[in-house]
Amino acid sequence: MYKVVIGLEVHCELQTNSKVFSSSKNTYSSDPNSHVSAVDLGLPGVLPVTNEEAVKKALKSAMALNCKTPDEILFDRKNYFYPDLPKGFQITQVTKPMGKNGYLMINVDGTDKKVGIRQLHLEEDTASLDHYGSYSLIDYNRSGIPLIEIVTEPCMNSAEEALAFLEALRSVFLYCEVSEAKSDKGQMRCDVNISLMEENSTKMGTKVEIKNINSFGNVKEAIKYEIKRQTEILQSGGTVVQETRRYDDEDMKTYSMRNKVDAIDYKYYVEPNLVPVKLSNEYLEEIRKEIPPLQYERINKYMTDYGLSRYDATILVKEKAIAEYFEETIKEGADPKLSSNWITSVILGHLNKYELSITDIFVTPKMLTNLIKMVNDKVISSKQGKEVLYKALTEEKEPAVIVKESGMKQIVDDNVIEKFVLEVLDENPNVVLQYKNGKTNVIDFLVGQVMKKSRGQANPAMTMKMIKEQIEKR
Amino acid sequence: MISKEKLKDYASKLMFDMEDSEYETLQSEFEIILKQMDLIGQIEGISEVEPMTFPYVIYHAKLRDDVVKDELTKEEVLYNAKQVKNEQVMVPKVVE
Repeated sequence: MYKVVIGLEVHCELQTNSKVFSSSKNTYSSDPNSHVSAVDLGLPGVLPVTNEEAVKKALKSAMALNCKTPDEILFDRKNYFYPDLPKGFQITQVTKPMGKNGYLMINVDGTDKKVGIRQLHLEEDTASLDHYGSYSLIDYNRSGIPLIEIVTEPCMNSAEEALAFLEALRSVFLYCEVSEAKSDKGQMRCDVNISLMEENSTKMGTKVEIKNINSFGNVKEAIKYEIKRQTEILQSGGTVVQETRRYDDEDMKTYSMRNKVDAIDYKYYVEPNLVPVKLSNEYLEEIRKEIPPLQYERINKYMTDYGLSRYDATILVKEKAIAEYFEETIKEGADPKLSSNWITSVILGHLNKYELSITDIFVTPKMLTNLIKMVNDKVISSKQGKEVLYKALTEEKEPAVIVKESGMKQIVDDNVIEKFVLEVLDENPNVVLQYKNGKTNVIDFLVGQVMKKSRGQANPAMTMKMIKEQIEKR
Repeated sequence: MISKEKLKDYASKLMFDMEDSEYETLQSEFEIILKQMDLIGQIEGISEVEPMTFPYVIYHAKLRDDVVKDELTKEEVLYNAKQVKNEQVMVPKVVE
């Protein structure tokens, strides 16, 4: 058996108004070459000017991933020749990346794992190329969009762990509001480094890099295929070649692109057109303050402080807005477990059905808390509560108003219930006799009669208890 | 010492080639440069000096505000292209 060793390189486009070194618009547009500046085209005489928002968001991401931040902002030049790079070099970071030596916690099947982050750096995206029969077409809209690249340690050991890491990473970007992180728009892209080693060996196997996988699902498939391919090579006594491969999502296989001998020498050096800028502690702390509690932290809090299951906690933290809504109900005094139940069973169902965001709905955390209290205080039954919540969501009415208007109230007054119970027992002496003779299931009929008289408002549990007590007395 | 083979390798990576005599000239020039570098290397305590990439460091630089401006028109973007198709620059197929 072989042990799988996986490292990831993830690219993520940052969400800013303008590009990282030019002032043209950072947007995903289907209209080609519509948001391009002279800087993006690398025209003679232009100079890059760093966008502060991109720097802040890169630093924020680095901090959220527990990375060490640099003492100054410094960029490097990576030289290579390709049509997607009009000026012949990419401005990136090698000497002093925005983040170093961090980690991200993931959870696979209930087991925690710390995934090491080697570095996070800020760079410019390239133009996009589309390839046709005998030519390629270049669209420069993407040229210069701020991009962060995250390089992990080779420390993941299965396709599931790699996928869990990507999901966790995406949630960090969404929680920190640094990127929309949509892989179908190419905002989040991933390269996979994968090697196999002997189960008990300490010697790492030969690594293969798989480039530009365009969806999380394909990352999983590419890893699975590569494990199978490399296992077959090793089992038949062959050796794995160190090379770069690409994943073809049509036949779900990887294909060789180039081997190590052809590796490009990028001739990195410090970017001379951008002067280094010192980062003060105050500046960094301002950025750090904006990082909200992240998914992993929230899941653990919900489980230990609120007694939720991992399953429910994971559902609630899927989106930051939902987690915040839930936490708001607790601040308002709702019982965490009940609040979690109502949100996951009714509200999330409503959001899915109408494709809404939780920030779109009429029912505020305070309204939900009041509704939960009404059920808890037995003002209305739990079944009625759900009806009210559905109504409140669809008709955009306050739950308290709905309860009042529909006369929906649960009778919990002993004296009132007793009156109904005595009436029903008096009217049905035969049924009472049947009960006394051991046919105890007739009690349902009696409860039903009380419900009828009270127009469904008598508390069922109390009614049942009281009928039993009264029959005993007869 | 720098060899002729090494120079040829660099030239190939930079996608050009030269006459043999030109390589020889380049090689002799490189030897002078390397000797000068050696001399600098002999300066006392040089290994403790941080390499200087810029003459001064900026402490309170104002970076650029995140505002959209200075976009070119599509006509301007495509003005220098030899061939244009579907409002994009057309080049020979480059995928491997």
